[in-house]
Order: sequence, then structure tokens, then C-alpha cells
Amino acid sequence: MKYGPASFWLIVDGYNLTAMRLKQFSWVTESITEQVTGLGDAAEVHAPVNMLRTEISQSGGFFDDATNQAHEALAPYLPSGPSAAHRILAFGVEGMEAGKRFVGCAGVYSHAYEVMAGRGELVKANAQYRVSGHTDRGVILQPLATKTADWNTEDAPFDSGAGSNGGGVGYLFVTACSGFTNFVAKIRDSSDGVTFADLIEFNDDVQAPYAQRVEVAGAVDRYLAFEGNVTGSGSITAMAGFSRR
Amino acid sequence: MNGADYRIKAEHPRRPGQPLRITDRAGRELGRSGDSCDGWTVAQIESGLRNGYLERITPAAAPRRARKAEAPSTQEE
Repeated sequence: MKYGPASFWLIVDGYNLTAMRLKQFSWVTESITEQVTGLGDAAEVHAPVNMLRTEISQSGGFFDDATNQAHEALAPYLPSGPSAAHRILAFGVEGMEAGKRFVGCAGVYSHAYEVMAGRGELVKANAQYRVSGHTDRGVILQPLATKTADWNTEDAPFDSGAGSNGGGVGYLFVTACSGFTNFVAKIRDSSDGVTFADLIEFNDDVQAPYAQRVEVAGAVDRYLAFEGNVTGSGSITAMAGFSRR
Repeated sequence: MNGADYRIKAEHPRRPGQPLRITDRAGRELGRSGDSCDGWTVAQIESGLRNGYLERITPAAAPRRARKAEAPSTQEE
């Protein structure tokens, strides 16, 4: 199946960077190899060294210094030292729909931020990301949507086809929140799609934008659903997914 | 199968220390750790048992004990 540019989305730490109207996005995963050609070889020989390198870059998006837009999302987060906090990033090319695949990265530094002004053009901004460690491929359980009351997706859970025992990783991104005093999000699982129990509980947080990545070990049942529990009145815009291992 | 015979276990069978809160497919809460399953449908009870979420609270051995108590008196007669 092929996908057009409208299917692309990108969220970094809860900042919805799709709004930058990017012209280009690139995600490169490379298996590092060493050339092991020796005397007697008539052609080059390369061997993988069991190490992956992931690089992500975006370009051509509009420079926008409004609240929660590109400049706020990128400019303050250049890593300032060896212990700088990592960022959480997720993107998808198949569309923001339940059951569509996404890629999540936890150990991300947005190490380069480039602002470009050109004659006769709106100011653009580019960014590059370095990824340390985990890259998770998962499915969207809750597409980015605004909610005003408790909700869940258990009436249309994601069917993985089978359960697994290797645990998994849950991602939660909240791009906007107002009014609510609590927001507790959960990923729930079920072996048969009839009764569900908690699999992952994210931290209670109503400070948007924010992102969380939570790992879980052990058995993960076949059916997966998302649940959002809010306290008070207001609105929240959230997206969540799960990567099974 | 009667839901009153079962209750939700005190902790998650696969995540020790974590309490259980069971919901149905529509997201309605069926109960939390310690609650009776009275009012659950048969499909929900069977699902809860398959998942390991439930434990029996009525003593299943009770009918056997009753029969044993009656047995000697029958022999004496």
C-alpha cells in the first residue's frame, strides 16, 4: 500500500510539528559495517558490527515563534551537556489513525536547529535529531484527538492476532490540555476482547505539551485499548500507541 | 455459572502488586480487586477466569463434605 504526504505526522515531546508544514522528513536506520577486506580478496568485503545508527532530520518547515509551535519546540532543546535530558519523538507515514503503524524514539537529542531566511520567501526552519538507544515500532491505539470527558477504545480494541510474552513500550503524547486537574491515561489489554485490565498506567499529568514512554515486562494480551481518565472539566488533546516486543 | 460464586483477585495475575480493575468491552467498569462478580454475564465470567482475574469465593468442596457426613448414618441404618 502506498501513502501520500497527507499521511505523515510528527510529534516531539508533545509538540505537534506536523503544523510546521514540513517539506521533507528523513529517518535513516543504518547498520554500521566494517570493511574487512584482506589480502587475497579481489573485491571489498564488509561485515556488520552489530550496531545500529538512527538519524532523523526535518526540513523546509515554517519558522513559527507562536506558543507551542516550532521555535518553542526546537530552539530551547539543543543539548547543553552530557547529561542533557533526552526527548521523546514519534512519527508515522501511514496516517494518524487507530491501528496504523508508528515509530517511537526515546533517546533523542535535537542537536541542530537551522533557521533560513530567503528573498521572497517565508522564513523556514530545519532540525536534525540524533537517536541513542531505543527505536520502537508500534501501532496507534489512540489517534491524536481532543476529548472533554473520560473515554476509552475498548469497544474497538486493536487486535494483535495473538498475545506475546516479551513486554512492550507505551507512548503517550499530549499536545494541549486545559481545565482538567488530572489526566491518567492507561493502556489496557485483554486475551479475548471481553474483559480488560490495566497493562500500563502513565503518570498523572496535565501540563501540555508533554510526552511519556513507559516500558512493561512479561505477558501482553492479544487485544489492546487505550483509556483516558480526566478529573474536572476542560479539554485534552492526546495520542497514544504501543510497541509490542 | 453464577457470578456470585466469584470475585476479582486482589492483585493482577501477571503484574504482582498491581490491583485489578476489570472493564467490559464497552469500557464499563465491572469491578475492582475484591469485588463480587454478581451481575456479570456468563461470557464475562468465563473471560475473567480465562484471564486469571477471578477466584472462587463459595467453597466448592461443600457438597462433598455434606455427602461424607451423611454416609456413616446411612451405613448404620
